[in-house]
Amino acid sequence: MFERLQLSTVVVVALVGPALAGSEDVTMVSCSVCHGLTGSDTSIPTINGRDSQELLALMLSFAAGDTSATIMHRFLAGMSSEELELLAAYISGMGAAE
Amino acid sequence: MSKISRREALALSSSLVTSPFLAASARASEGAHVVIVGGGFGGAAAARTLRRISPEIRVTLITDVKEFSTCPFSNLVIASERPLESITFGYDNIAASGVDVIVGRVIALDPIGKSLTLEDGQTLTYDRAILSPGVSLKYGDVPGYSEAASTAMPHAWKAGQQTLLLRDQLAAMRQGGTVLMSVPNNPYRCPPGPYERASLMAHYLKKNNPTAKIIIIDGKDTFSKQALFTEAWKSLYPGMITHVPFADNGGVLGVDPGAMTIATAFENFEGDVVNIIPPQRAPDFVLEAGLGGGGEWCSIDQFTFESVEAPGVHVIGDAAIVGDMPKSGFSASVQGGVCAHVVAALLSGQTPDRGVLLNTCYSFVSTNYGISVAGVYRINEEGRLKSVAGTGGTSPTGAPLSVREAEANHAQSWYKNLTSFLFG
Repeated sequence: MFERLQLSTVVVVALVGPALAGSEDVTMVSCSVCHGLTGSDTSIPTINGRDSQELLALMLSFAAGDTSATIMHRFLAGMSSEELELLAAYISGMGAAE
Repeated sequence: MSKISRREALALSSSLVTSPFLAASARASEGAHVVIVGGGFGGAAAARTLRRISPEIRVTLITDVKEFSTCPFSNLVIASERPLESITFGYDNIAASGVDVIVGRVIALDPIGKSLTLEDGQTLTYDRAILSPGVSLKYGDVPGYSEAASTAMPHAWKAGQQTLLLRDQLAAMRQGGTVLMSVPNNPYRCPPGPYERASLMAHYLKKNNPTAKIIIIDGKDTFSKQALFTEAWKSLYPGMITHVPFADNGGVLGVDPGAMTIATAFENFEGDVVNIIPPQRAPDFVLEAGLGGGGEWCSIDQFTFESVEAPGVHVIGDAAIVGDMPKSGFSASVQGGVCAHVVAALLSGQTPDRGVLLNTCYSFVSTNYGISVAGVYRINEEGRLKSVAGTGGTSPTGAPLSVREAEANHAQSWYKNLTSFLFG
């Protein structure tokens, strides 16, 4: 019974939130190497928990070749707008910085 | 907690009942044992990620050092800009997160019996192993060089006492002296590392020994971020650094630690400080277990990191050929995290998810002058992890100093954030 309960909890999380949403989880590994998973108090900005539309607008602008960033425009040119949309939602859903 | 892919979540949403497959797979990884070999960036990333995403999996980390000094930022130690302690990390926090940490040296791997043997005779069995064992230095490939000779001519290519030795030799060098560097041909750990080292040694010498010279004797003709390094050397350290490409030296024939000389095919060089960076390969126990397949690096499935020679053994970081990704601490960290996801999925009977992998190699040319090369990697139709065309690349040449300063700050931030995640 306990196992079934636990399992259904996992299923609900997977359905309603992006926390276990597949490939964004894997891609986030690379993001977190600089930005961290729980926030950043350095010159590299915190991304987790920020508004998804704000994140998406930033990422699309970098992907379009806005070179005001030092690195991000070189990364995001390699991702489709659909991927960026999913990624923005995922990062936003990670929760705010601690 | 078991990982569920979007596809499975969708399938479940239509029935809203637990499928027998999922129930079975959720149990499959319960109590599974993953042994990670290597306490550097790759191993630590794999351990921390596995604890986070799959707490039901038992994780053992075997490290051959009680404290790990990072190669990234070690050139700042050589330039007397940071103490070694500031780039040295213990494993207490990794252990506190629920990882069994063993300090010991692996001497044998048995992929059939799924076991590892340590130098002290201890044997560990695993369901899946993740090896991130770094590199072994091929001292013998440089005639006259040896581990003993490295006390006179440090390699400093594994951070620690060797780093301090080179730092102290540089500080003690006579005014107007010459530093020689011997740099291998590709592939080796940290492609831009030797040139960052030359830069930061020049940064130190400019302040303390301004008539000194640095000569880089290279085993190749071109190198990583070359246009950016040479542009910066001209403006920051005019006349101090000379790069002698392979075409102009013909290769190192031998070194003499007594005379402090390097003989090349075309010329003999004499130095006051001599830094020999030998060629490298995967460590002995990995090659002895057959994971090199007759070569010196481990061939892997570039999606799952699983050895093509040894099922159940995943190899990441410098020891493996990971598609187009360079041998860097950043790459190893990314591979460690992604490999943890792969291993967690496989132990649950699921198909691992794919994602995009990134790398950035920052280099300091001085403490407030940073440059970078970045890469974006995806698995292609042939299963190879390829660099995505039109992405990545280096910082621009001719950029204003504000850009260099921003990159130096980001390099510091990257290091702080990553080491906090791995070892904090």
